[in-house]
Amino acid sequence: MERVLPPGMSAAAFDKGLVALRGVVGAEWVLDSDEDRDTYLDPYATGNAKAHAPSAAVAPANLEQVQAVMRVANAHRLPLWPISRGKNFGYGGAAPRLPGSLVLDLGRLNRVLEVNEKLGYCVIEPGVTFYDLHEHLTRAGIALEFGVPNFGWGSPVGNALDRGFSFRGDHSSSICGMEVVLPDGSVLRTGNGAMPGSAIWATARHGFGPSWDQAFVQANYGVVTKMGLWLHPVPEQVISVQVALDAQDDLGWFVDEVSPLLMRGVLGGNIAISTATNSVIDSSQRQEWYTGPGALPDSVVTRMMAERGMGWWNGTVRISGHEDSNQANLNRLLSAMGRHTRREFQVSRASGASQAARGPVVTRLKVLNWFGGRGGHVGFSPVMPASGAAVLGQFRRTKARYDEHGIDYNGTFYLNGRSVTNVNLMLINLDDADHSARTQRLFDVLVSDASAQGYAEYRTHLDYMDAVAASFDFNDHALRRFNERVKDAIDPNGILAPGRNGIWPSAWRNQRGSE
Amino acid sequence: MRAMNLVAVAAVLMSGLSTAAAAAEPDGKALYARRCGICHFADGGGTWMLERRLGKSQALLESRADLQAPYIRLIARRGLNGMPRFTRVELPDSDLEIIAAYLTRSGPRP
Ligand SMILES: Cc1cc2nc3c(=O)[nH]c(=O)nc-3n(C[C@H](O)[C@H](O)[C@H](O)COP(=O)(O)OP(=O)(O)OC[C@H]3O[C@@H](n4cnc5c(N)ncnc54)[C@H](O)[C@@H]3O)c2cc1C
Ligand code: HEC
Repeated sequence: MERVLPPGMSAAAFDKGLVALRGVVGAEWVLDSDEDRDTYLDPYATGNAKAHAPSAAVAPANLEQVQAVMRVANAHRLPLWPISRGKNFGYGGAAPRLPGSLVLDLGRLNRVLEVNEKLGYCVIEPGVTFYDLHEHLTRAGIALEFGVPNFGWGSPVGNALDRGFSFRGDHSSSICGMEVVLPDGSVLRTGNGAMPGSAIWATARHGFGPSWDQAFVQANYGVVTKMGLWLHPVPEQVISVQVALDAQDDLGWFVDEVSPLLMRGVLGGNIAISTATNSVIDSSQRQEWYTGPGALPDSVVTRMMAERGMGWWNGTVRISGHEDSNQANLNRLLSAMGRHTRREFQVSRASGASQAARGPVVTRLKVLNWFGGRGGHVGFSPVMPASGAAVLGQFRRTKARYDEHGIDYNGTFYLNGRSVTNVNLMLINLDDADHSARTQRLFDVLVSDASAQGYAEYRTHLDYMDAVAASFDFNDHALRRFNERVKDAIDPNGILAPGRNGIWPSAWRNQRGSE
Repeated sequence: MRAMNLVAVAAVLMSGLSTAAAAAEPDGKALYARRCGICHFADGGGTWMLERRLGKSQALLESRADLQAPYIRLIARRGLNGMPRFTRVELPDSDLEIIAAYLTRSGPRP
């Protein structure tokens, strides 16, 4: 794509900035050819990719270069968009919120700095991928593991900074200590890391006074260059229960029975339960099932269930731990479900080590082939209380909206204990402009439906950050005003990730709501 | 042995690669496994999709003898349907050349 500059900036001023950046990282690591820019676009964008087009990318090699890049950005007023691996697919990929931003690609900071098997943590740099960490642990024979998202191509750091999750639960809650480069180029260590030579930086969360780790998550206050992450000891045994529920309404009792087991620690992490379509879309193509108009009819879903021996709702409940307590916890789960269904569920047992050895996978990307041509996807993910009635209501409303817009419904409900996160996948046929437009309209209506219920999204695509942030409007947007006062105090030139999660620095505040 | 070396050198000359890259032929396999294998080995999404589009015989990139280096370069940088583009940070030009040389190598296929 041809170059898109930051709004209002002249080419001459921008080029001067690039010269200064080349002086910092070397010419090779300022990437500004048309082809380079394209590699940082959101590949699955439904809208206009130009709305989030980067002007260039800059890839520092170490902490000192990150600091120097920030200083150059201030001197030349260059907006930067940091990424760890940039695989934030469904949420914008590597692309920036503000067009013309430079992507600050941290992929070259890719060292595993420390792993402590006894205390169960690692300290890593942002460019370390899930595969890198897995390989490191396997090679060293360390019996620890980290939760991996369904799509494992990204990085533990980038994923945690956007509050990604897996069946292990919310990854941002594993963060313990960070090294952060602030927008002025200075370096901060959070928590116990603020004490030089701290022996507990990555083992004890809070230092003394306010605890800042979470302030750098889904925010634009600093560039994380090191992160402490708690890892999970590989359990003795994992029991997997293949749950299949036949009726749409079964979701209600499932939530009411399983959530208390999560709250009491009988089950751990989170439990995902998905529509039958969820496993059909990554193992077949739409035309094999349906070629008629509108959304996939329920009758086709019923045929999928019959052919594949699935329920309307399907999920794997994992019970991890020691064999004896696992068996007791399994009994509790089966008796809770037995109050509502006579179905026998398949139960399998494996050693924790054999499960951990599997490592990350990226096969989930096959969903992009659902329509056969260029595929895209976005997710709409509101969070609601863990009550069967609330969850069923959300499911019914959402499915009706999908049907109304002619989009194939695909929903997963992640039970977290007290809350439920509902990820609604929208697969898009990018070769069909009408399909993309309908998907966008569906997304808009889902945002307003959910906020009418008091449900907010846990994370969103670049296109919707302003809209979702605007729905947190208690006391005339007091939270947003606070976020932006902090932003202006630490980033007066507004160089770092303007617009991320709806937080706009004063220099760019007129861009709020811009496409 | 001699004949094999000559073939390797000829392949290098034809694809315009430096001999340094060609000398690293075993690295080609490893790099391919690391950067491409996650989708292009037997159970990967790339293999699955290519089988649907081009048939079983064309599905495994590593087994194909018809791939050309410029096409490989193009797909890596521009993507193709479900295959996302690779940046030059994740996959520097030099690594891409080594992978292209591996995929266009002469000799038997697995
Ligand atoms: C089919 C499919 C399934 C998926 N399933 C899941 C899933 O189960 N769970 C899940 O969580 N996600 C899922 N995803 C989304 C996504 O692929 C992952 O979350 C992925 O890990 C994010 O990419 P990344 O790790 O490269 O992060 P990045 O893209 O590098 O980072 C994400 C964002 O965090 C910020 N950021 C990153 N690094 C820094 C830094 N060092 N300093 C400051 N800010 C930073 C930036 O704003 C960046 O845009 C899925 C995607 C697809 C396509
Ligand atoms: C995340 C998954 C993924 C990764 C990683 C990946 N590919 Fe692909 N690749 C695909 C998919 C999917 C297709 C098929 C696209 C289609 O036909 O719809 C494909 C197709 C291709 C094709 C086209 C073959 C043809 O005959 O048209 C080439 C060439 C290719 N990939 C090369 C590579 C190389 C080289 C790498 C590593 C540098 C790589 N791929 C990494 C998913 C991937």
